[in-house]
Amino acid sequence: MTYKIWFSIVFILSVLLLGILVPFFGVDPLLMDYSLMGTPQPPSWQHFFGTDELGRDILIRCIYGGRISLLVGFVAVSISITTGVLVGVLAGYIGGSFDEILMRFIDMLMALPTLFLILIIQVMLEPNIINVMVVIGVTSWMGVARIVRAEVLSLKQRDFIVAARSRGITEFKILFKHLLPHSLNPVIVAAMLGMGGAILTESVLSFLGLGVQPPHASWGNMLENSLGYLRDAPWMALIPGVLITLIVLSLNFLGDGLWLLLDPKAKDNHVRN
Amino acid sequence: MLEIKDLIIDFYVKENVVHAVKGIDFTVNDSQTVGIVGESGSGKSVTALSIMGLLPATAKIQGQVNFKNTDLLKLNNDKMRSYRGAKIGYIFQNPLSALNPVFTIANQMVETIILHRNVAKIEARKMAIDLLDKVKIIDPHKRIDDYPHQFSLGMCQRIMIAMTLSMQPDLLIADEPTASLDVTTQKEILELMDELKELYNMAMIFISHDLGVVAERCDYVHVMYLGNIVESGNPRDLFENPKHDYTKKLLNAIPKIYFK
Repeated sequence: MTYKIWFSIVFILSVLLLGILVPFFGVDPLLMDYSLMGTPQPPSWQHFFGTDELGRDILIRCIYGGRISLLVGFVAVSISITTGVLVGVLAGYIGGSFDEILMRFIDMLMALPTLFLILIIQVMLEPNIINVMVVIGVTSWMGVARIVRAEVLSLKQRDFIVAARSRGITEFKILFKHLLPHSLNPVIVAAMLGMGGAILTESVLSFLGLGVQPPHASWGNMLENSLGYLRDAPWMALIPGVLITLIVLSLNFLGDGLWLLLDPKAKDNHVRN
Repeated sequence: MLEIKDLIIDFYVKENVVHAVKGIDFTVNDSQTVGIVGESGSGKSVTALSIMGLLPATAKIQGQVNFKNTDLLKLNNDKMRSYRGAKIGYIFQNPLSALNPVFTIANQMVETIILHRNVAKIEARKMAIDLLDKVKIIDPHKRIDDYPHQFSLGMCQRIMIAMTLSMQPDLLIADEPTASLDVTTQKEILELMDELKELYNMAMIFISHDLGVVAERCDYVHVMYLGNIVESGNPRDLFENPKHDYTKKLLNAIPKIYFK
């Protein structure tokens, strides 16, 4: 298990660091080499990942695309975690019909085909990167809300919560100081998995032309670009495709690893197996 | 000080109704210690929690709980909060689970003291250390920054007692405070509680299934059985002259040591 986690950490960190540092390299992802226009070049010493149909360097575009992917993943997950934790905590803590109504509402949202919902919203709104992040965030908080609610339900009858109440501590403080930290472990894991999902959704949207708009690079729209050249320049599709797979896989491995690290029951099973 | 009149507590679980307490009456006078004995499930703890207003929402409570001429059952949650801790303290059966495992003792005690005593953080910490010293925790200024799991059960119960005392309640409810402790620790904790009760001049409701412990320190004892008080009296009369069959059975259940 550990080599997977180390691989994940190294991969994610390198995408992140390259993404942060690339503006200081003095390279331009939009720089076109007119002599290469129309004929994508295969990987060479000059262009490690080759060039695309407009003579742009694919490596540089991939680094810029990775920046976008991680940013979308991070912001979308922040939105979904915040919403999910808030809804889950309130539903679990207040309980009763309030909980019932919220949970049925979540059931309803979960029954909707999310991708089509996102597509419709993106068509109606202007498809830019901020909309992509917000739309992914607000359509993916339901799972987190359910996890947190279940945790809070089991925590709120525990002795130390009743004891805190018996000392006259306010409900607000009990909720956010005494209850919330105990329910965060599964949330951290869900955040990692959710980030992988968000990056995948962003790629799909960009691939369909409803996400990050050209000429800005994203792994998804690089894939879309490559469609016309699949036979002549397979590297144009292969490179961003592999990168999407690797980043999603890394985030999932990291989520699994954190789960093993944070959940004592999971560790027992792992040792026994 | 505390007067309970015709208290009825029912739990509604799905379609079933569980009658936990079936109409009990008792009073606690100033600086008096009242014992409630009975087996598990007889309604002792439920009665105690209902005084604090800490029962879950599935419980339906009828009757009156008059504390200094205020019916606690009629108060809303905000008003009730001003009674919890400040006027009525509660000591739990399992001290380790009653402390929040992710915060230090200092954190939890200071939180409580600031809430009830209106002092600054540094002063609250000083008060907490004093209190820990009073409940005989060794090296309180060092140990205060430890987490609950770093203490033994007996020490956790001392800490809980210190925390309850920091709020200076008029009435202390001790819900089987020594049931989870071994016999020698139990003796130390009980002696400590007697000492501090004397010092702070509190009234106390002492819940236990240990008849010896109750007989030793209570001014008045109620025997509960299946949600009813079946017999009351001062401990000497009650244990020397039990009238109700259940009290007799309870007394016979105390193991006796025979030597061959």
